[in-house]
Amino acid sequence: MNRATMTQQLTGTLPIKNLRDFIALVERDHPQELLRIKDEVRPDCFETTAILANLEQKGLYPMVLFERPLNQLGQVSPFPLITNIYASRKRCALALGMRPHQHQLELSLEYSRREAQRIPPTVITRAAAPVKQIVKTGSDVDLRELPIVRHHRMDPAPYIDMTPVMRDPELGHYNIAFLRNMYKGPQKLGIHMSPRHSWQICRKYEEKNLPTPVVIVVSHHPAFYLGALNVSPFGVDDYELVGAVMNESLRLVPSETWGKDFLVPADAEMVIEGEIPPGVREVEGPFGEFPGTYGPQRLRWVIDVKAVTHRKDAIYQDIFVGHPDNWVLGAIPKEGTLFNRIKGVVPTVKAVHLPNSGCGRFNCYISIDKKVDGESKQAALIALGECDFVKNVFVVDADINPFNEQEVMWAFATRVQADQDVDIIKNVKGATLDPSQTDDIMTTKMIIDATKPVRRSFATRIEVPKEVRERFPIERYLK
Amino acid sequence: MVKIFDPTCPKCKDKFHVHHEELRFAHTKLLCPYCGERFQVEEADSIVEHDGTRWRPGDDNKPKQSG
Repeated sequence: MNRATMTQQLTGTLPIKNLRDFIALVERDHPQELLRIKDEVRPDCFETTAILANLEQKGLYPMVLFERPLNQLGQVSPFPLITNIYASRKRCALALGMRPHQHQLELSLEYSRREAQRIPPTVITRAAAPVKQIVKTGSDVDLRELPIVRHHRMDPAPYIDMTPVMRDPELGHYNIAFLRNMYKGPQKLGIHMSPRHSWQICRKYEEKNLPTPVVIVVSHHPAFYLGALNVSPFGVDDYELVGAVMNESLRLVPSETWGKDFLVPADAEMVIEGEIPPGVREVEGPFGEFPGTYGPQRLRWVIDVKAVTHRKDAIYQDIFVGHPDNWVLGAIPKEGTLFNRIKGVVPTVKAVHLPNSGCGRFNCYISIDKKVDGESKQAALIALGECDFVKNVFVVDADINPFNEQEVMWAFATRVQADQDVDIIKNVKGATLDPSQTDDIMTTKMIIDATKPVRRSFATRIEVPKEVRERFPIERYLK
Repeated sequence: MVKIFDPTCPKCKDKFHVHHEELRFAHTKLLCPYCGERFQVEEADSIVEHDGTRWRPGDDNKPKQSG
């Protein structure tokens, strides 16, 4: 009996979600989805990402658990390293408590259903919080003990690439974001922020010449991180939204550094607490980023690390940034959120998909059951306005499955005249890491309306009569 | 993307990407991501500027900060 089942039977309630139970679930029910590496490997010398890249080259995307990663002191780290969790939508479906075969439309619709809700967090005591089993503060903190990963050749150092949490000093809400954190010393990190929510919060502290409290949630249940990547307006409390996506109240506990003024996830494997000193900038990067290209070396903020707390046998988590692990994780929350936003204006929207071919961000495929000409453009404009990552929107009819790129490209080929169906929108806020942008901030967005016109006849898609196909089930011939 | 320039490290002779606006004229030492060498922009072995022009120490066409 695994721990999750045991907890459920003892308490009569569903177990609290945590990373180790998720790994156990995958290994028990879907063993092909987990690869254990028992050899010693050097994460800070590209050895873990080398194995991931070699798997990817063969079209293999298992979740990989490195049991004996070396830390930066050259010792076997007490923390096993889990990575590539999100490289498969089937595992993401499992993370949300769904069946693997529900990994396409059903997964994004379930996310859209959950992200429309809010579940307030629950504060528990330190004694009840697994993340407080080991507490290190001040000079006892040594980040060299962690198996931090150096991912790509131009990265200058190992990077923690999970989620810093910040709290708005005026509104009081918590914001969670995936931001890269460069290892700079035993108690020091660099941090990169683009002009989004975390940047806004940090700016408020800096304007008052105050340090910004920051907590990096290094490892937690994958539903936590799927929830963290929601596309919500500034001011939404991400702890509440993460709870909604996890389908349970997120348990929180007072931090070591700020007590009740800054709560941290109690069921995380590990958290790092620190402060961003105002006005301090140092060189950081380059870093292999989500588009699969390097972002340049910049002058960025630093974090003075104050505390590390973790479970006794904590598991360290990493994202293989710039690869499907990164792209799928980014896509699912955006699909869910954009579906909800579009549905409010175009009720016949059927599906939204952000494929890996667009890094899970830049390209967005929307299918609608169009009733009125012009609805396709309405849907596209909402997607472009809601999410600055989305650059190229393809709108297709309901007979096209947006999760099948071949079908989307077929619609593009047969239902689009560039002079009539393509719109270019210049000077829109984009993603600073998009290598094709010629401006620092602004990008050019594109709408491709690959839907058929409603008000005139249009060539019908060919089909073999359905009733005849049903008389010849293929199973009869494939034995 | 943001404008970038590519300095070549004076020690290991490999080049990398650097943010033009923030670091081209900031007089801040760059960090070579390959060998850890820290050096001023003017100490680079060579530079490919954001507009594609190339520059080496001692060249007469050394770029100046504009604006």
